[in-house]
Amino acid sequence: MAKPQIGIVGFTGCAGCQLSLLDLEDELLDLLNLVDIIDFRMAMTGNKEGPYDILFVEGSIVNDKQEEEIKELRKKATVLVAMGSCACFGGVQAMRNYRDDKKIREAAYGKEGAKNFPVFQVKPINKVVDVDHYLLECPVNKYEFLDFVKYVLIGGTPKLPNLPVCHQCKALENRCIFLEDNIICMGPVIQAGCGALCPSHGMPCDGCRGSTLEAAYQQQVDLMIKKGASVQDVSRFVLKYNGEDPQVKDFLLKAWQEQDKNLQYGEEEEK
Amino acid sequence: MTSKIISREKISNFVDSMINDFIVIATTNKNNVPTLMEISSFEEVLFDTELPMIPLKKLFHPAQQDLFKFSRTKGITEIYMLKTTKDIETKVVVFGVRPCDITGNNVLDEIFKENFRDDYYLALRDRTLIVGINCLKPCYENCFCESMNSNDPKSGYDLMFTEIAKDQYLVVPNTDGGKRIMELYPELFEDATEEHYDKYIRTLELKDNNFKKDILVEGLPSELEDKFESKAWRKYTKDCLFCGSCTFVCPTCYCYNVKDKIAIDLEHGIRLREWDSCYYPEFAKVAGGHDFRHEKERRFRYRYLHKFIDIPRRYNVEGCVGCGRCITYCPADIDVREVLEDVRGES
Repeated sequence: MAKPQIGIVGFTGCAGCQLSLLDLEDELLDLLNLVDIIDFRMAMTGNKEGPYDILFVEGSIVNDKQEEEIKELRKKATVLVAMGSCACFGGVQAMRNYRDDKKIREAAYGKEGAKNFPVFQVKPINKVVDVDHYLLECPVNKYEFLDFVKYVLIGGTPKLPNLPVCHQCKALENRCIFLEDNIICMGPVIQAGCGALCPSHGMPCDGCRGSTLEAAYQQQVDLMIKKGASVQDVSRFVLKYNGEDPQVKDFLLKAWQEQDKNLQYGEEEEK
Repeated sequence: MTSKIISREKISNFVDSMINDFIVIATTNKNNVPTLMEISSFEEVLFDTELPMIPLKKLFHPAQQDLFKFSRTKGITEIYMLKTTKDIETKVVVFGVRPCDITGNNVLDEIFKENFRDDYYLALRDRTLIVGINCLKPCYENCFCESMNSNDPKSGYDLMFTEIAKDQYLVVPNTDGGKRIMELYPELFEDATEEHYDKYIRTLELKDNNFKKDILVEGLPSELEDKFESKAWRKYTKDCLFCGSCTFVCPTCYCYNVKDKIAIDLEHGIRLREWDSCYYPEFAKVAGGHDFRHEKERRFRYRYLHKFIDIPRRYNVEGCVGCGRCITYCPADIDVREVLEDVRGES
C-alpha cells in the first residue's frame, strides 16, 4: 500500500483527542514514515482538504453548518473513523438531548437570546454520515489510534476488545471499589481497552469508552441503586459520556424513563 | 518418616532463610487486596488470613503473557519461554498455599501438563515449589471445599504445615524437593516423636469434624444434564452482570485468547495470550461468524456445565474446588451453591 493520505479534523468537542495524538511523542516520527498527514489544523499549516485515504473525525455535530461540512468531508474520504467519545456517542454534550432543550438555552442565553439558537440535537458522527470504524475513549486512546493505522496498513481488520473494564481490572489485581467500598463504578458495562486506568488509581470507571458488547445495564443499575445511588445519580452516571450510544439510549428510553421523569428525549425542531 | 516439627516463631526464620535462597512468593497486602507476590521479609506475609484474590494460577498462567516474537516475512524469531527458563535458574517457592488452591492447581496441571503439554505453563510450573498450610476449619463463610473434596490434596505440593498444637506445626514433605528444602535449614526443625504423630492424627480427626458438606457432588453431572433447560438458569442470568470477575478469580478457569501486537515498523510483532472468560459475548464465536452461545443464558449456564460436568468426566477431577472466590468477588452476589441448589431443586 502506498503511503496513505490522512486527515485529522475536529467538530464540537474539547480538541483533546487531537492533542492526544500529538502526545504520541515516541512514535510520531515513525508514524510519519507510514502515512502522509495532509490535514491537521491543530498541528500544522498548509493543510489540504482531501482527498483522504483515512479521515479521523473528532467531536460531535451540533448545528446545521457542521452537518453540511461533515457530509462534504465524507465524500472526500475513503475511510472515515470516528475518534473519541463525542464522535462515537455524542460525548458529554449529548446529555442535553435528554433534557428540555429550550429550558437549557433560556438558562444560558436568557428568554430573548435563546430564540437566536434553534433547537438542534447533538449528533454523533454516525447519525449524519457512515462511519467505518470507531476509536473509543475520552480523549481517544492514542495507542489504539496507532494500532488502527498499523492494521489498515498491513491489510488487517482492527477490532474492539469487546470486553468489560472488569477484565483488565481483575488482571491487574485491583481492589473492586464497587463491591467492597460501595463506590459507583461503571466497569461491568463499559468497553475495556484503557487498561482499567481509573480503577487502577482508586477512581471509579466513568464510562468514557461506551458500552461493551451486550452490556447488562438493567443489572448494573439495580446494583447501583443497591449501593446507594439515587435515581438522578443513575441517570447522570449512565448518560455522562454516552447519550447517543444505542445501548444506553435503549435502556434509558425504555426501562429508565419511568424512574426518572426528568428524562425527555428531545427531537429536533422543524426547520 | 521424615516429618519434622517447627514452632510458630521459627516459621518466620524459615521464610526469611528461604528468601535468601529462592524467590519466595506469599500472600501479602497490596493496596488492600490479598495478593500473591514476591516478598522480601516474613513480616509482609498475611499468615492465617484470607485467600489471595487471584489464586496460584497466575504464577503459571499469567493474565497476560508474551509467547513469541515474530517477523511477518521470517516467521518466529524468538520464543520467550526459552528465555524465561534459561534466565531464571533460581527456584520459586510459594509459601502458605491453602489445600483448596493446591487442588485447584492440580486441575490446571492435569490440563496443561498431563492432557496437553503447554510448554509455557510447564516452564513456570516446573521451577516452582509449593509449601502448603493445612486448614483445620473453614476459613470463611463462602468456603465449601469439603463439598468439592478439595480439602485434602494428595499431590501438587512439596511441603505441608499442619498446626498440631498451639504454635506447633508438623511439617510433612510430599516430594524430594520438599525434603531438600527442610534439609537446607536443619537448625529450624526438630524431629517428630510418636507423641507428635498422635497429635497430628487427632488434629486431622478434629479437622474432619469441623467441615461439613454444603453440596453433594455425587451424581451432580448427570443431574445437571437433566436440568439443562431449568428455569433457574434464566433467573440467575437476570442478576448476572457478565463482568467475568468470577472466572478470573477461579483457580480452575484457564481459558485464554491469543492476540498479535504489531510493531510500528509493520514487520515485527509479538504474539501474546491473555485470560478470557466464557461469560463474554465473543467467546464462543468462530470463524465465519457463528456463535455457539449467543444468548446470555447459555453463557451463564455453560460455566456451570463445564465445571460440574465436563471437567469431572474428562479429567476425573472436580472442576470446582469450593474456595468461594466467585461468591466473594461477584458484584451481583451470585452464590454458586444457591445456583446449584436451585437448579437441582427444580422439578
